[in-house]
Amino acid sequence: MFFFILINNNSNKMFFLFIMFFSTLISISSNSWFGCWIGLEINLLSFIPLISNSKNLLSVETSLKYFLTQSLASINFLFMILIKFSLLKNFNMNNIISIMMNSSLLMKMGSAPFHFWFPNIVEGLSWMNNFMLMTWQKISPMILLSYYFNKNFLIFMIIMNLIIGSLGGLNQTSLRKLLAFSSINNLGWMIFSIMISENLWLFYFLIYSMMIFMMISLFFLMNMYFMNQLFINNMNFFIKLNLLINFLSLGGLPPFMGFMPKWIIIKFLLINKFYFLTFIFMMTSLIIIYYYIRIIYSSFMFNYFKMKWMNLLMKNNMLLINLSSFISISSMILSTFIFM
Amino acid sequence: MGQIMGGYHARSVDLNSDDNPTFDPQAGFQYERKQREMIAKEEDLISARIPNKYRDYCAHYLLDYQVCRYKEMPLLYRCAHEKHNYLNCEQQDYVLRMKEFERERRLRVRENRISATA
Amino acid sequence: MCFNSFFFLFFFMLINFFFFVYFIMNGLSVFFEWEIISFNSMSIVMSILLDWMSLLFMMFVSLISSVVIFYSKSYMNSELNLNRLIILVLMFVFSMVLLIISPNLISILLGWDGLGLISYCLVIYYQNLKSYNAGMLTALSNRIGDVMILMVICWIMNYGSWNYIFYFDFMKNDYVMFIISFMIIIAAMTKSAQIPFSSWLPAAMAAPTPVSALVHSSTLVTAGVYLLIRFNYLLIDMFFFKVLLFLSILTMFMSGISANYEFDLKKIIALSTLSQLGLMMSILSLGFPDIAFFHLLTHAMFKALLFMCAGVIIHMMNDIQDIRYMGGLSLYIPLTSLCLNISNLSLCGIPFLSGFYSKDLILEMVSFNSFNLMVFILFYLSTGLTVFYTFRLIMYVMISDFNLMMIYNLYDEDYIMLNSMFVLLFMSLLSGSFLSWFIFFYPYMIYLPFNLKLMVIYVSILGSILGFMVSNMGIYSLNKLLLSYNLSSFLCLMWFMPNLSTYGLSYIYLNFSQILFKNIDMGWSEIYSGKGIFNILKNYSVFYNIYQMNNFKIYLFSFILWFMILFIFFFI
Repeated sequence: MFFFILINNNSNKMFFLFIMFFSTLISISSNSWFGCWIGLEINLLSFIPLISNSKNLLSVETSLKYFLTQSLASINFLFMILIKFSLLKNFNMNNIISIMMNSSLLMKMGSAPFHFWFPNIVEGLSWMNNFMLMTWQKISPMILLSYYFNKNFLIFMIIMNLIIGSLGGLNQTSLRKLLAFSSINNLGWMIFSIMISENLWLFYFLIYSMMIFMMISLFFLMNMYFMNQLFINNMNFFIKLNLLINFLSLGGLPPFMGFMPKWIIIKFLLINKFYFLTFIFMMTSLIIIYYYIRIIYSSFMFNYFKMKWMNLLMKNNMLLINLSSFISISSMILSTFIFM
Repeated sequence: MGQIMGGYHARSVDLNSDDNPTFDPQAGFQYERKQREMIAKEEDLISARIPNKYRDYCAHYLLDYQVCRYKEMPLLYRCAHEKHNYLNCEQQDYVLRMKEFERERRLRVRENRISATA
Repeated sequence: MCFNSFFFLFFFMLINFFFFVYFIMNGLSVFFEWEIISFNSMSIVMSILLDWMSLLFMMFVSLISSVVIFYSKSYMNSELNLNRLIILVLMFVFSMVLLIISPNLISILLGWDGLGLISYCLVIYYQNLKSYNAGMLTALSNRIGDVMILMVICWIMNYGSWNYIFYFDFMKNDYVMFIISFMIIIAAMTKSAQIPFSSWLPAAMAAPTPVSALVHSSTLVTAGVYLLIRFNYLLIDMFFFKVLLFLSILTMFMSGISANYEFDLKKIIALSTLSQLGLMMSILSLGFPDIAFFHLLTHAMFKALLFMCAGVIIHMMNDIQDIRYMGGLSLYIPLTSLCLNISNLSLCGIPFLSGFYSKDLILEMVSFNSFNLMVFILFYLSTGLTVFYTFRLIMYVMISDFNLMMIYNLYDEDYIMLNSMFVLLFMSLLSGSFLSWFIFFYPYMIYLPFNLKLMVIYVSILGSILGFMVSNMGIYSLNKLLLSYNLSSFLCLMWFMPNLSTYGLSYIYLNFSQILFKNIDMGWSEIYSGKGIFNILKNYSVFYNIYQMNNFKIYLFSFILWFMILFIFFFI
């Protein structure tokens, strides 16, 4: 986020960024469903100027698509709130209204089965906007989800998230879409963590956003949007290593940082006897790691081409890259020293 | 090898090479046969730590040979006389056992002949 | 490096000799124990047993290895990396010494495995295809013995420690000891190349000649015999000892016959080593371990000398090992042929050379004690065969005409090689009588009829006459043996054991594993995991993409549809 602030040389966009932050806070901390809805609306309205850039036709179209889907979801959310207030006086969470409220929030987040807009829009945004979309925009729908959710519906949604996130990413070559599907997959993990406790969700979300930040900043600095751009052979070795570590960490491979939240969630899964769900979590994780490793393997080992006229010099940013590698590798081990 | 043929020859009277003599030791001899006695003393054999199978009636020659071996080591060709004595005694003992075996066989054959005609 | 190790080993030999005389004089045997680690109730202890037998064997091993290293300074002087060979030989000697002095199975295993591994490294020293194959055959045959010793280690844990010498008298009737004795016999059979495992010894002649002189004549192949001599009190009444008798006399016989058909100089010597090993094993399994030890030592002397002479001859023949190219060498290389003749005659058991004392004693013990007719016949027949191939070798190499080239210069005066051969010549002449004084504490009395006593001489004369007649070949000689092609190839190719050990054992499994690999590894298991699952997932992903790449309006419309359905359900 600091990067976003730092590279934003447009003061208007800075203004909208701050409004977006405040809108999330409004949505989270209100004690009435109306306040939540207001926060969501302001979020939508402040995000649109951030992503629209009148010089680029693709980003205009993207912002329009974003506006349409999110506003549809907000309208539905408002409607369901009003029906709940007027017609439903109990606090039982296992009813159809909760399903409807949850589905509108899920559409806001970009979770399956309402996720079809998500890869499309991600394809049209720049990396920093993607980062905003994938991390910050998920906060308020998630927290609102935790206030009123239907357990059975959400479990079904989790399964759909996992499967679609893993299967959809198999056939992609664009890095943005790849990270989009990975984000959908991680949404499944996060929704489950919401069902356990909000604290757990916060933990998962923070680590996930840190990992996404490291990946996206790497891609942003190298200005890479597609998979075939990763096969440049004269990349600095540390950049490739950082790529490897971050991808594996995102996939949840043990000594890296991304394993820890997944581990804790699996522990909670097993404690609460969600055995079949554990199996699905595992298997889809496997598929995701497969296509991460496919990318890294190609970029590490194959000798595609070596460009003579463009050398990837990243001297000024090596600090960030090395720091992110170090954090990814060592944080799990260091956390055991600190917390145990 | 000769023992096998000799042993084979004695099967017809049911005599194996491990059997003890069953007849009277004095039968058929003009002179008086004495029991053989050990010349080497028991405590000498024990203190020289001679294995059990070598403690036979020639053990005194063996003790002399061991004494000579210990004294003349490493020039052991000088003990040839004691070794020759021992081997001679062993050979005499072997011949004696061969003769006892043959005597036993003949006495059995004779007994069979006597009991066949009777 | 050569000189240093030669002096070191020679000095070691002298130390061993003096300690041997001291120990045998006073009847001492020393058992060292060093405690390496001691935990609460477990302790790891390294123990060394020094008695006259191990000191004597160490003396012989260090003598032969010092002489061989000195010899290889001149024999392998064109070798660039001679230091590697010397280091390998030194490691070999170290493993052998470890095997000799160890009273427990773990250090025996260290020495045994070290011997097997280093003999593999030495056999493949010349890196060509034949050496690789020979090394593989050697290493894998020896490996079977290693596995057997490992299993003995497991089984003897039942008794609490690995010091086998303490358990012989007490546990003789135990079921565990039965299994241990079976495995020890098989381990000794693999190392000493008895009948099921005897194909590696002629093949291991691909090693350099000094290595063969050390390894395949006196140390490696006698390690099995030495192990059985140490285990002798355990094995005496067991059934497998009789099986070992049967197999070892067959080995003796088989290698004697096969040596008559061979034309490669080193292979003839290897087969004669095999025959003498069979002799050692058979006299051991008849219950006379000290005579077996005696023959082991004297055989080591003259066999190492024989290999060294063969090395000199091979050098002179321009690296040709085929005896059909040699002939009349006794005229040109008198000193080497002196050594060759003495070692050959000692091998035959000509009176008062060193081989006579051990071989004649063995044959007389076989005649004196009551054994089987087959044992008797095969012993004497093998002795006759020994003389047969020895005289054939002498006729081919020494006596006939020179067959290699028209103009030749046979150079004998390589004094480094000659001096090393003279040391062994001296020992091979004297060690027979010298050892026969020391080893036999209680003399063997032998009383034989006249003809039985002379049976050895009859068989030797017969064998020498046959050896002379067989090698009288001219240009016009017909090879009538080819008329009985099956029988002669059976007898000549070591009763087909090399083929059985290599191709016969591996053919079925390789064939079967090809079928398995093609059908299962590359076939069904790829479909049910691996590629198959990947294809399924890929198809799912492609199928999903059809839904993903769609008109945006349809997404929004589907969302509205979902809500309408839910709304209807709400009001039902």
